[in-house]
Amino acid sequence: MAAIFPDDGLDVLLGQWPKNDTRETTANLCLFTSQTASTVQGHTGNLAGLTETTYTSYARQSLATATWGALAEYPTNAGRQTVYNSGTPVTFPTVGATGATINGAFLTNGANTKLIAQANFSDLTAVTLATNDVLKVTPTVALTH
Amino acid sequence: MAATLTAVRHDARHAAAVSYNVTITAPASGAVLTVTVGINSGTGARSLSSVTDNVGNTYTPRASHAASSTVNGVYILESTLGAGLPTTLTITFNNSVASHCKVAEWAGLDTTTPFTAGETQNAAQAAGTTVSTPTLSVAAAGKLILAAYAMNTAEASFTPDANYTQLGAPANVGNCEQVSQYRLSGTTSEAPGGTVPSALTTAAWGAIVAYNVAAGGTTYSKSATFAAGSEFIADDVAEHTRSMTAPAGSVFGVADIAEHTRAATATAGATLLAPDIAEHTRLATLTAGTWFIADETKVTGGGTTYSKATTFAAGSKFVVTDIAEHTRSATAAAGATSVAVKAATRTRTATIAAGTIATLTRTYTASRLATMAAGTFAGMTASTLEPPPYLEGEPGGGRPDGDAGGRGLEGVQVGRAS
Repeated sequence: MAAIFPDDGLDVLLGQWPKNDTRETTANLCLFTSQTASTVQGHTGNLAGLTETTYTSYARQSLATATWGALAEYPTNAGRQTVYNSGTPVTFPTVGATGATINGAFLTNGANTKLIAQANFSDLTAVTLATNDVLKVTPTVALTH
Repeated sequence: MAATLTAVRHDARHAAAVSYNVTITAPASGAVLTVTVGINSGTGARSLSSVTDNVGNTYTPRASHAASSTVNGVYILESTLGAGLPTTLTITFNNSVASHCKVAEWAGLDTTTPFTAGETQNAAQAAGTTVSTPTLSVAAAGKLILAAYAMNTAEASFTPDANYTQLGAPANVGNCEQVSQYRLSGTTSEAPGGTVPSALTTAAWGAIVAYNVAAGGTTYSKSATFAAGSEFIADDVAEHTRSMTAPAGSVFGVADIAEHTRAATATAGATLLAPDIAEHTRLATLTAGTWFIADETKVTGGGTTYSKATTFAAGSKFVVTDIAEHTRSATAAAGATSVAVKAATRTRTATIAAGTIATLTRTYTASRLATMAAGTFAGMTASTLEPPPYLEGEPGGGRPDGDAGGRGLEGVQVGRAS
């Protein structure tokens, strides 16, 4: 699985600690159709470098910081991780008239101005959404040692 | 895939009334209610005026035929329950009539566009023991076909059309009997009929309506891990990758991994193929069951330069043609199979645990320590070489890595630490 915290995303993290930038209390989980099912942008990647899906009825999903789960080992001893909402998937709106092929998900800050992280789906398989399909995503954030 | 249709039926009959209530169990959210009404033939206009409920839903008629002195009347209506989930429906006529009403709750219908204009028919049927409807043509198969028949004889039973399901048994009340049947259409042309045991003395009236089924979608569940430091793309991974994990069962083929990789972990069951690993790999851990095949791990002559630790867990299979210079530690745990054609120059520690099968064609130059536990099977073709020129006669000094070790190689020491 390809995943990255690009420069913009690391800046957000470092802004939270050790710097004392304004606290980010929400993030947005979004879906992209650009890149491929197994690649993401490089370290200079940003929101302009990806294409967010526009399938009918699509909407970004707000993730509250308070809902991220307990910190745990990112196996095996590679780092630490947190899974959103104890593993309960985030459900995107049912696809309307026009679907899309989704290559992965990305996180933005609450204001949707910065790309925090981008990742393919863990199985490296794109999802081709058609009318009335529903996509559920379980996001995990991990920091490796 | 079409959604599954389910129907929950509620019956109400009345011998003669202008209006009456039908009490039902509150339907499930997202359900659609259909109401089929039969009216007995008789003198004067006999028609259905309205269907309402206790929460204000709208019931839209899709098939309407008033009764007369010679034929029965039949109606089919539906509501998508936009105003709420009712528990009482009120059926109102223009006169006091004998009627038979069936309320059915459906799951799986399209609540946005339940009905396509024109997909309804109704007509009089000949008297006799059979009933039917006119042929209904629909735009596409896969719709709910609901047919209702109003009769004025007391029938003990009703035999539905093949592939159709009867919606409630006949029950004559005041010479009015209504039967209904339904199915998910398999064709674009439907004309369901049925038979009754007693010949009808007055022509029945049959009505048929097609309802749209909600298009069933597929629900996909995915996971996405946003891992910092896991920039990992295609053939040439990246510089400064910190961690690479090949999950069990995966085949991880990388032509050129990276410089400065800090950790490369192949989970048990993984196969890690890395013809050329990297400079400055700090840690390479192979879990039991791993197969690790590295044809060339050095940069100069192939290999990893300055690896600090290389651990091969029990059960791992490690095949290295040429390992590395300056590897500080290489440990093959019990059960590991380590085949190193040319191990290393200046390896500091090489520990081969009991049970290990180690075949070292050319072992070490200037190794400080080589420990082989009891049970080790070690085949060393050339375990000692001439010390590098800088070591000869210069115990402890002169090495390009700056190490201040105490003495040069005086022979490989097997079975004890130096």
